[in-house]
Amino acid sequence: MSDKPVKLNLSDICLAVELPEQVLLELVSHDIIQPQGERPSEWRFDVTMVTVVKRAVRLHRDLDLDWTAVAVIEELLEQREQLLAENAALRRRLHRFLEH
Amino acid sequence: MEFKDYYDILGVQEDADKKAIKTAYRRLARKYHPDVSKERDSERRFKEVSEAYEVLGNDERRAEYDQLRKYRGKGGEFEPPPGWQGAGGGAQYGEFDFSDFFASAFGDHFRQSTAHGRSSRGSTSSEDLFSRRGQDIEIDMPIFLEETLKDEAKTIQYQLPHYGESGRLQDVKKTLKVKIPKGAVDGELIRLQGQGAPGFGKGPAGDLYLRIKLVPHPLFDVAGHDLTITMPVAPWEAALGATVNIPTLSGRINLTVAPNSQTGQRLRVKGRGLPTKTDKGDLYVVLKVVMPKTADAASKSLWEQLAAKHAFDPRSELETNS
Repeated sequence: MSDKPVKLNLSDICLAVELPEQVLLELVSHDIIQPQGERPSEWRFDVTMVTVVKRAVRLHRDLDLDWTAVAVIEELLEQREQLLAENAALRRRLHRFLEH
Repeated sequence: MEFKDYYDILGVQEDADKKAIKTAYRRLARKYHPDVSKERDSERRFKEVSEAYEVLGNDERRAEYDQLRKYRGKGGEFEPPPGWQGAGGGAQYGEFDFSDFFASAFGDHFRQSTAHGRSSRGSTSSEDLFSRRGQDIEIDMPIFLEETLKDEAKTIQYQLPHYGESGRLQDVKKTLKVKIPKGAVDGELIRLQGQGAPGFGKGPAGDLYLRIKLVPHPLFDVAGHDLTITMPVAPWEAALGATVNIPTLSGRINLTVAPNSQTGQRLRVKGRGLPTKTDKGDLYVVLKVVMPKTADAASKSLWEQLAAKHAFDPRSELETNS
């Protein structure tokens, strides 16, 4: 394993999530995932995006949602995760401040 | 095996029309979808609801199910009637296994109807038609902050599903040695290709994803690559200034507290945070002025002298705002 974070190109991520390129293009165009690079041939995806893609596809399939709705949910879920993490961190810090 | 009452699971009547079934499914799917639900046991409930809709949402399967339902034994036990075209265990939909009941009732033709879209990239031979990539496995990997300071090798154990000729067998335990890269952050994923569940037929194995979970530290809080430590100081240290010895993740250091310091004041110690891939975060030291738990007569007298001579009003802000 190298020190550099592992990035996937478009065909790598398609293989990893077992989806055709078309779906990935759809997800990028709805800003559900944001690869680095301008053109599809230059796109590089973080490994973490694999789980975002899988979750987005599950929501799309299981709840019969269009991609715009999935994009909104993904954003809200991300915000919720951040807020929960921030809340837990603030609680820990508050506890350190209040304990004697 | 246990009979599954799909009508009960979806909360609909036996004679419910397709629209009512779809509405019930959507409502329950939203409620129990494991990606959004905070309900207890949501994953199991969602599987049940999906399985129920897979059957009741399809006219053909619903008709077959209604026939089977007549064979339902007392006490919830169920055996498929003789000659029923069931396939045995292992029917899969999406990313999870449906119940034995579902597999027994619909396994064979369900697999045939879904195999086309999910397997055999471009191949149509009957053997490849049933080949399927193994499932990916995602597991959390707890890491101590100290373990992010340099490349660390960790041994992990996890359960892998195992398939024999007769279907799914007991899971097998797998052990792997994994290198955790220096500077790993909370939530980061490490992908190990081909270390997930084995494939079916000629299908390749799935991947293993390890999600880094930083274990909360008794002293340090983490924000990105920066650390925060809360440092208690005596009132006179805050008033007069002091040099204090504090722990960092990489050994103790001396820190200068300026005179007239306040509770909540933040001092930055550059480069004593968590490593990034190429650099290092900082350590923030937050001061917390702490009173001694007891005061002897001499101390009390000193405080009294201070009280008598100092015109400090700590509540002046409350006065002006009321």
